[in-house]
Amino acid sequence: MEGRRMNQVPLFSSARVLGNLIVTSNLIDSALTKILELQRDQTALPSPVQYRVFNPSPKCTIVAFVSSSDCTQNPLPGQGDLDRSPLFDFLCTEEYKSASINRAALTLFTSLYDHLSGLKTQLTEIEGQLIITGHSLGGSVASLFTLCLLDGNLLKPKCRPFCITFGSPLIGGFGLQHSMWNSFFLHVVSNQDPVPGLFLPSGRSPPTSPHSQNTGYKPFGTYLLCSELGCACFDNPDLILELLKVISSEVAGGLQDVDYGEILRNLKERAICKELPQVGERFANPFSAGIIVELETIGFNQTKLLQHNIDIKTVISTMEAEARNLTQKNKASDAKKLNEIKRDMTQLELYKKNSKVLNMGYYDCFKNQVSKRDIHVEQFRVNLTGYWEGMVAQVQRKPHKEGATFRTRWVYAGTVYRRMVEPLDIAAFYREGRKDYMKNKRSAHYKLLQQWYEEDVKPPSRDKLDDSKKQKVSSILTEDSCFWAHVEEAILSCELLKSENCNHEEGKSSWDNLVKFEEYVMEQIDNYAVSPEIFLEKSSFMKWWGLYEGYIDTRSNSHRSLLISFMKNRSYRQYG
Amino acid sequence: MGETLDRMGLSGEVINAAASLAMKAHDSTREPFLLEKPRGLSVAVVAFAGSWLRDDWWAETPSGEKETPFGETTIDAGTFPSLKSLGDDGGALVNGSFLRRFNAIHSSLAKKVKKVIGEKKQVVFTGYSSGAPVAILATLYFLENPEPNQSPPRCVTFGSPLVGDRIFGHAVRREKWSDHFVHFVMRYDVIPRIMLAPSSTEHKQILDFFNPRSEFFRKPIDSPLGFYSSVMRNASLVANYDACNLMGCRIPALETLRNFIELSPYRPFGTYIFCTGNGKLVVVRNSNAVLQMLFYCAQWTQEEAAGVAQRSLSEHLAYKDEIQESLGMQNVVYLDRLEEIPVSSDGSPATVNTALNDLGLSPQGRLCLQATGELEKRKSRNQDKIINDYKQKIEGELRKMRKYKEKAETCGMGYYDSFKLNKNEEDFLANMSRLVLAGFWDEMMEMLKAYELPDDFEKSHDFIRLGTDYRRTVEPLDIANFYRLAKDVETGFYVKKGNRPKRYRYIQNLLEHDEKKPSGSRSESCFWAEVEDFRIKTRRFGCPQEIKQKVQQLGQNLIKWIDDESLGKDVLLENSTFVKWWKPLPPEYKSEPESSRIMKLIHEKD
Repeated sequence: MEGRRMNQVPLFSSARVLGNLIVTSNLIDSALTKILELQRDQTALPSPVQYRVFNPSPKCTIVAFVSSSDCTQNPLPGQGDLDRSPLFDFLCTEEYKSASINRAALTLFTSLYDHLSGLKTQLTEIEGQLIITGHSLGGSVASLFTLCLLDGNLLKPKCRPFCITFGSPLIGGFGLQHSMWNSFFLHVVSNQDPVPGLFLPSGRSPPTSPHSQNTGYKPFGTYLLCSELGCACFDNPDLILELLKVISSEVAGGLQDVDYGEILRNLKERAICKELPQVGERFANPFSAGIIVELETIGFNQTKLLQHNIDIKTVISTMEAEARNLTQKNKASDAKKLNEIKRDMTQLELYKKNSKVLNMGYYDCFKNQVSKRDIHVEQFRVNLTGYWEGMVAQVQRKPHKEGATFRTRWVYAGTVYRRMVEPLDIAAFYREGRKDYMKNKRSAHYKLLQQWYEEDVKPPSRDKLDDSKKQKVSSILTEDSCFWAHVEEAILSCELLKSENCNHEEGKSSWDNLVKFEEYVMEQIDNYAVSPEIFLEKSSFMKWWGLYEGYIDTRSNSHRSLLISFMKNRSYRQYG
Repeated sequence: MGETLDRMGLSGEVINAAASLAMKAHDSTREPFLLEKPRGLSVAVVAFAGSWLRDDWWAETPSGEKETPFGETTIDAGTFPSLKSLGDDGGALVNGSFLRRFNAIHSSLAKKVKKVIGEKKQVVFTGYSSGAPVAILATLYFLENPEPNQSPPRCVTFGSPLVGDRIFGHAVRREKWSDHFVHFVMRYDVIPRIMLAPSSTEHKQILDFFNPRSEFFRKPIDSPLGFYSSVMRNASLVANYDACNLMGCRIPALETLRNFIELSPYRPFGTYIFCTGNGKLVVVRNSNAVLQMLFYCAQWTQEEAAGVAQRSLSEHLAYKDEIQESLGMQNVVYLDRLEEIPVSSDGSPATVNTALNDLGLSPQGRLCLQATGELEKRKSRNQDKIINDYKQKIEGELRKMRKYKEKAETCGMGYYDSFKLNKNEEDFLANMSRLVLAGFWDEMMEMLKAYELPDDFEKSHDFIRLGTDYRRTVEPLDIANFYRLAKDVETGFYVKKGNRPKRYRYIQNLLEHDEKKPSGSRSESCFWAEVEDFRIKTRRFGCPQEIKQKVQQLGQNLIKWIDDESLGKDVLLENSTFVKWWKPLPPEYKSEPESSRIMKLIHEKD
């Protein structure tokens, strides 16, 4: 225990330095200026939400959204509900099977929808900085619009988008914590502004409509929380949710607009001035010192936290665990992991090669556990499966389009892995005397890897199956990674047919399976899609052939097929 | 009670002499530099003139070129060959105006200084304000191009603006020159911070205030807070940005933000001595910490604001007296173990805490300093891990590789060809070793690139030797793999950028830099790639003259490399790809006497 603590590298919390960096950078000022400009010009509001495009410099485009304050000051019943919308189904991930959007924001967004498609086209042309910003519900619309831009993958690679909202209510229940997109959103929230937490159940939420739900809001992106004393950045959704709840329940009086211009002016001064002298406190470590000071800066001193039943120790330990987790992840760099994976694959290649000497493929070697090396192979299999399950999970945690882009880079490597390793899983399964791998055991990550491969990689057309494939066949991995499962099922069918207590129905279905299997194998052979290793003397495939040949020879009515003649003529000797 | 300045290796007399000559030279209008040999001291002091003209601080961007609001330019690699990154060959950035002023006096200076060196005097370069950057560049010049028997030059500056970027500082620390530079800085002085802000009208105001020829000379500035908060805002931007990285900020918005903010490239380097204003001197060697202090020391409370802005100007004029007083008191605090400094203003150890209070460091500032200390600790932990763990493992794998090589040679074709055929179990095992080694080196390269190892690690002879051994032994296998899988068909020549693994290029750079050899001169580990490439090219009928010459060159290099043992003789085995290709080549591909030597060597093997 002592040793572990010694090894623990101290961490730091950078919420305030990041907050001050943002405040001093002029970035949010330029966004806010345009919002104020638009608000000033907006006389009699024809619509509850408006936007305008600004070009303060050739390298910078700003799109500002503003909403009339009616929407937040007198919210209608049901405004806080979460609705599903087909427009935002692209936000679904493994964790959030359906993405729901706040009704008020969605209504405003849909009312602008036609205009926005024109704007989208306009923005696909620009390069350089693109700031999409908005205040209050206008900010919510800005967020929704940014999400659509990201999903459409419409922007030029040289265009850098950033969505900055001021005092915007939470827009929905979906998770972007594992997505790149999360980094494009910054939400500025004052501790005097109840609007961001408006639709939360504990806030001043308008009454919900019957049978609807308004729990399940989840913040995303980075929050710049500020008070009179200063500001700090957080991106932990649970912490942000809790703080927003407190803010919206505490602010007394009616809902009136908070002056973000004034807040920013004060913050900018604070960021370069010396902070207020602070109570002489002993901190356990720099990390907890950081968090305590940061929360204090945004108006959450210890007394207030206690009042609202927020346990600072729990906050610190959650944040610390999260930070350690991320540091750990960064440490094992991608390059290093990739090298380890390559090593394990090379080990398996060697195993495969050596198995041939024993006159059986690596599938049967592993199934029969003939040598000590099989134990090591087990380890490689575990490592590789762990790695690839992780990669697949990463894709699933991302919104669909982003996941697709992310995976194309390694879908080939994933396929090689699937073809090499899945046969080992099959071998272990049938070694235990079990049945029907495809239905009972096949792991989801194999299914997805196969599905993605089939989506991404177009099979070459038939006439392209030229000599090169024929020449290479001796060194390929069998393309269908479930080939051996089909072989095993065929063996079981043969055994069943031969056994005495096989009833008519079972016999019929077994025979059908076998005929199908024959066709399947022949097709694989014609396509040069199976490794010639299957024809090695002691392989399970040859075992099946032995059983099958014996059976058809004893059958009364003769059965012929291409595969039977291929096998009987020993044409496989010329294969590969 | 504090310590003395003795640890710096500079006596009070020398510093005092430097300070007074620096002031004198700064205002000199006729001489670009002054040279004095103070009586009773074994040193010669060289001090440089300054200037208050804006063009001497921020060069105008020539029209048509990319605008550089910070006036930076890539340093000239001929004069300063070491000031670059070895990882990607990128040159350091320096302030263009300061470099121009150095270049203007460079040859007359060199002549005079060489004479003094001949008299066995140690040279101390010094400068005040904009005289200081010239002193810094002069010192670096003599470190880069040492005279025989020269004792290393020193550099002492007073109120110097920042000169170079992060690569500049990294290169100086890598070459172990950091201790040659000592910079005195008054707590509020605006000039050491001025380069953190882009060129602006406020800067003109500041320079005019100091400029005796300006109508605004020493006239109170209208809104003194204006220029000071502009400089401080930019200092805060740089300090906070670096602090985010030091503290390991994991909030992804930081990445996005980087595209939206303009940061000064300049960073401090060398040893900084902060004058607290009450006679105390605080010594900081950690450059990251210096940057944080430049910002946090100069923060003000709202009540002090106007006074502080005024002080930021007046303190720039107070060096001479302050130095004299401080040297008399010798009350020095060394901020060495930054990760242990107290966070709250009543913490311990007391001497350190009082010094931090004297400099007005807030808890946030102290946390940032702790983070800079932790980073240094992490760097040395990483280094220990390499020395105590990785090194043995790498050597173990290399031993296996050598055995593989020896065994292959007994079969008459060398390990390159054996690996390329990839037929036997040994070849697979060698491939495993290759991957294991690649894992270690890739990880180390990542650490170096992220500045997660001590700066001078790249200069460690042990590391360079190990890397070179690795490169010569293993790169041929990478090449074999490349051509076995016929990757050249899709992506071209192996040595081309993007094909050759970066780790090899990097390790080769380290060796070439260490031996002061031109870039590309140590490419023996790519021998096989050239052979493969020429083998394809010479197959074609009517091969151009240029290729023939290059093949001749390859033969000459081969003899050179065999002779200095950087290439193994296994390439000359009868059945190797090289011999099978080279032997039947017609004479116009071969030059004498190398060709006969090669033939002789081939037959020696039989």
